[in-house]
Amino acid sequence: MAIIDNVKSRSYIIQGVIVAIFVVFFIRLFYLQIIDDTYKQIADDRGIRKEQVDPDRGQIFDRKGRLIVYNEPSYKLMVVPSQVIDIDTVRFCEILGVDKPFFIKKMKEAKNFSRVRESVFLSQMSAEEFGSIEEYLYEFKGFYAALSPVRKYTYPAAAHLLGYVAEVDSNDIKKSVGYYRNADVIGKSGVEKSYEKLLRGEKGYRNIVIDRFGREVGLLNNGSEDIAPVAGKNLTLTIDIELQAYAEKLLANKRGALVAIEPSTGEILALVSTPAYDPNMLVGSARNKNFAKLALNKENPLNNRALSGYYPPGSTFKPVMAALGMDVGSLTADQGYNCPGGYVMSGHKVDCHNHPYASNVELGIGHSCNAYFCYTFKYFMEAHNTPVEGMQDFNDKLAMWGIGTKTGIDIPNERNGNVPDPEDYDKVYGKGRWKASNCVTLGIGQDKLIVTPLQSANSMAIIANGGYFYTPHVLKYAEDADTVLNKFLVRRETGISDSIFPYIQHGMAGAVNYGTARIAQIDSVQVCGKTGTAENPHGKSHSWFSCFAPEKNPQIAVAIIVENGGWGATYAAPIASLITEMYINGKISEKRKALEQRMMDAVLIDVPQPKPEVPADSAKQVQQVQAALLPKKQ
Amino acid sequence: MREKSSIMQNVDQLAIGLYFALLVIGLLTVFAVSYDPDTSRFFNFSQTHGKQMVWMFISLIVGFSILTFDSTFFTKFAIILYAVTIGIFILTFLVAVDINGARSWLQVGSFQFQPAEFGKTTTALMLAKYLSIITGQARSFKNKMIAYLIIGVPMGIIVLQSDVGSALVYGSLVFVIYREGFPVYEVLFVLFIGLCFVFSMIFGGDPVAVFLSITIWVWVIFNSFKLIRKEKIKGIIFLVLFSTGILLFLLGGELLTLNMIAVVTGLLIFIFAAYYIVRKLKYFKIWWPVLIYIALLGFVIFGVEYITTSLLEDYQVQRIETLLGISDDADAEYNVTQSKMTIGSGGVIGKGYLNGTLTQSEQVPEQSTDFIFCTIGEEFGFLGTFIFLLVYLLFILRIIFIAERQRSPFSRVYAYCVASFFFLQIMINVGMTIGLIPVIGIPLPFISYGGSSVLAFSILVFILLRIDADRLLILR
Repeated sequence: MAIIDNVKSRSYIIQGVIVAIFVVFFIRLFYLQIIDDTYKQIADDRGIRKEQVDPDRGQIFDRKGRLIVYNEPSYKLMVVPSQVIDIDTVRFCEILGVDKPFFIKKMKEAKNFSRVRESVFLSQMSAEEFGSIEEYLYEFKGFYAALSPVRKYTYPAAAHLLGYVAEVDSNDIKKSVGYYRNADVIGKSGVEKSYEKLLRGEKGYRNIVIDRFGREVGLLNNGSEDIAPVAGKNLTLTIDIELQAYAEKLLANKRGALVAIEPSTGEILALVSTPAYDPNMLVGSARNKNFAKLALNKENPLNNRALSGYYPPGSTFKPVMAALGMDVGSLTADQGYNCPGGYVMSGHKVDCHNHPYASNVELGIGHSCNAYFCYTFKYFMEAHNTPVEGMQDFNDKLAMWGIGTKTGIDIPNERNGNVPDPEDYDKVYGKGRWKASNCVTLGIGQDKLIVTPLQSANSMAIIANGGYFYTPHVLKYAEDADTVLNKFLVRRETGISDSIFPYIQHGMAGAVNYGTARIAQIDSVQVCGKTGTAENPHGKSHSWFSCFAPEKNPQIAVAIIVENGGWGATYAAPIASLITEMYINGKISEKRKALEQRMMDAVLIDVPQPKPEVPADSAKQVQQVQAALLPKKQ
Repeated sequence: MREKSSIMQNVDQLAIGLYFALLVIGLLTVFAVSYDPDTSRFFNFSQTHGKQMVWMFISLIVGFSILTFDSTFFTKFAIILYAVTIGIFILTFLVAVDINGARSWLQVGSFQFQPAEFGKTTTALMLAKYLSIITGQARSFKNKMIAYLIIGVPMGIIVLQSDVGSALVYGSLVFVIYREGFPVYEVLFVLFIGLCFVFSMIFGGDPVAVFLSITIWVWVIFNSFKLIRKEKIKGIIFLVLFSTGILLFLLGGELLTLNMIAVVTGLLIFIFAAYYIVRKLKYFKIWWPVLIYIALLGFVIFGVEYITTSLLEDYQVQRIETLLGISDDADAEYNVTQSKMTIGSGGVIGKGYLNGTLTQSEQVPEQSTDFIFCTIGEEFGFLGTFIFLLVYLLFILRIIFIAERQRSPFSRVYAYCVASFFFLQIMINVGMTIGLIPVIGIPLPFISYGGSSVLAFSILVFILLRIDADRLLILR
């Protein structure tokens, strides 16, 4: 059978192919191992170590060009276990200031990684620490130092806003699809996190030729195949670091938050959360100790209350409520409501304080009348066909104000706040079995209404602008990367006519001139403000104040909460007005110095503000560094 | 007892001898890689070589117990084993542990293994079973498709598990299909579609197009010699014209430039012109291969691009690229440089056992698994690699020799499967360490560190030895 023979002959073809491939391998190996010298020359008992060169992380400046964050040289001690021969362990530990168990543990870790490749033995030594061991290092074979810059902060302020950097964890490595490696640094919170990609730059690589003992001999091809690192972009932030530091001083030893916005642009001028900490605490060799200390502190200083603190807005919500009422037409500018010491419902009363009759919106806001805004809310709801529709509209309108939803600020971990929707009341009262009178206290910022200090400040910016805002943001510009800002240049409308805002602005001016917020008056500047007192089921009420100034062409809008501060006028209003004064006038008038001192001295927490384990650099040193670094800025 | 001793007599002595030789080489090489002058002892079961020794011992126990099986066991249970394998493959895909981006490892307790390793045996048995069933029947389209599917289904699941290396090894079964008399163009076509996709992903369309072109030239030139034998003058005219065309192609296209597509088209027109000149010649058939060539070329140049840009999502492409080792280019290149350097530094006779300085200083990544060939190259030089590869070549040729002496198609097909697996495994692994083939991570059988690999390949070999011992029987 011819066909079978033919098929059988294929066996020889298969064997031929196999032999041919092996012959190709033999030829290739003959070439590689005998003829070709290139690899032998490099490989003459040597290898190449591809070493990562870290780029300088971008520096950060404030809106006035003051340096806030820079990099300081720091050192890490590397070890190659196979080269550690005959060293005096006791002396080594003494010089390094570590104990023997630490030495044994680190050496074991390093050996487990690799006997012949370098591991980090001790990281983040400052230049001084390194200086003290440098001269002895030659005695200890197998150890050498490598440069690795650390973040430094010129002001002990803005820790929450700036965030911190730390070594990547396994999750970061996985998510980055091959960019990060062990011991790389990544922004973990704040601006460091949101602008990580701009700040980090691009890694470089060096190909180092090493001999068989792992010693460096030189660079491969004189470094022609190395890749130079690209430094990260410098960022300029919208914050005024002096104002920020001043605000932190005023809020020291209190629990609370403050946000100051430039209404015409949405630029954040200051963003404070207290208790705060010195950002220099989370840097260098003391980092881990300090981080644990902060994480365990019961006042939770790592939490950024300005973006994630949940508070009922209380009376500071009244101007917003007035705007909503006037928008649907249920409230007119000259509407007056009688206040018999509160808003009376069947069997229940919402108390109010003693004040003159509020015959129009301006006086309602000026006197902060509870009854007035309970009515406003009630009639707002009744302007709709059903309570469900009314509540839905309440939700939708507030969403346009950035309340109950994230404002979109460029700092991570912002929270939504809460505006109750119709379903929430369906759950409590049964479907269709509730109406406006079940939730009138929403009109005075209570019930289930929750805002963050940022949302509160943003509401002030909206009122100051007359019905629109720009997404609050902290990045003013980034070196060579203008496009990131485009989303912050879009004007966001609330959909409410600008014609109603003068009444509200005037009412808030009234609150400062003759109402509950007289303590916030500033010489020569008309402040428009609103106090608030958020009831706190766990203790003393929280003190709220939100304001903007001046009334015409506002330059700053501020919202502040001081937890357990009591009335709005007790702590919140004075602090906010001091910040406003400082920002607009650049100084505090003599007659308010006493008030300023009182605010700074007030202590409202049991646990004092955390102090760093290692004292932060003295102000003088900081100035020196600043002077040295500033000219380098392009 | 009587039967067992007779089996031991019938077992192929040369094959089993070569098997033992490879095991010993493997063990010594793994020891050389994990060798640490301060702490290493040969009998230390907590170090890699110690664990490898345990696995080899287990493999031998399993292997020799396989020799006690009745050889009909393998024909009877081929289908069931295959079905179970496919089931486990699917299970693996669903619950697998992610190792280096591939989801091809199954974890049982603290023991991880790769089902794809064991699936080779069962797939080979199934293919052998099926091809032996249809022996003597006319090969209908349906029969052929089933044969291709037997290979294609496990291969497809393995590709989905992001384990391209193993999938390529399964692809080697086309050798078997070819040996069993399937038409060449069919086998090549199936092979090419798969290879074209993989290689276009790795190298981009252009080089693959060049490769295809060279293949078709070789084919055409090969045919034209036949033509010259039969009709001298016309054959020579054709060959001259055709060679001129290739020359024009090489000069005009400069091999890899962008206007290549235009040049290829020009060349095709030229081929057809040539074809018209000689088309009345009955000994020369060019029509089908050229059509296939055009189809493949189109697929490579436009199809792959279309699939990767339009059909697949970005993250899917990225995954494919990662598993093919494209997106991590710098690292892969570094690995190959280190690997070539290590092998190259061995010279003629090497640096001596346990004296491989680059091996000792851990210069090559994955050096106890995928890149273990480097250690042989460094410590034993060209002499060592030559002898080692010779042992392996002898082993594979011996298996083919065994295959050809079988009376039953089942045994022959199975033996060819075994030979194909070993051949492709070595081709990819060694090829990658000496920089002839892109880095695709698969182990070097019996040499690389890894329990499931040694066990699986041992089972593969011992089943072969068992059925070969009964070579006088007709197994169905």
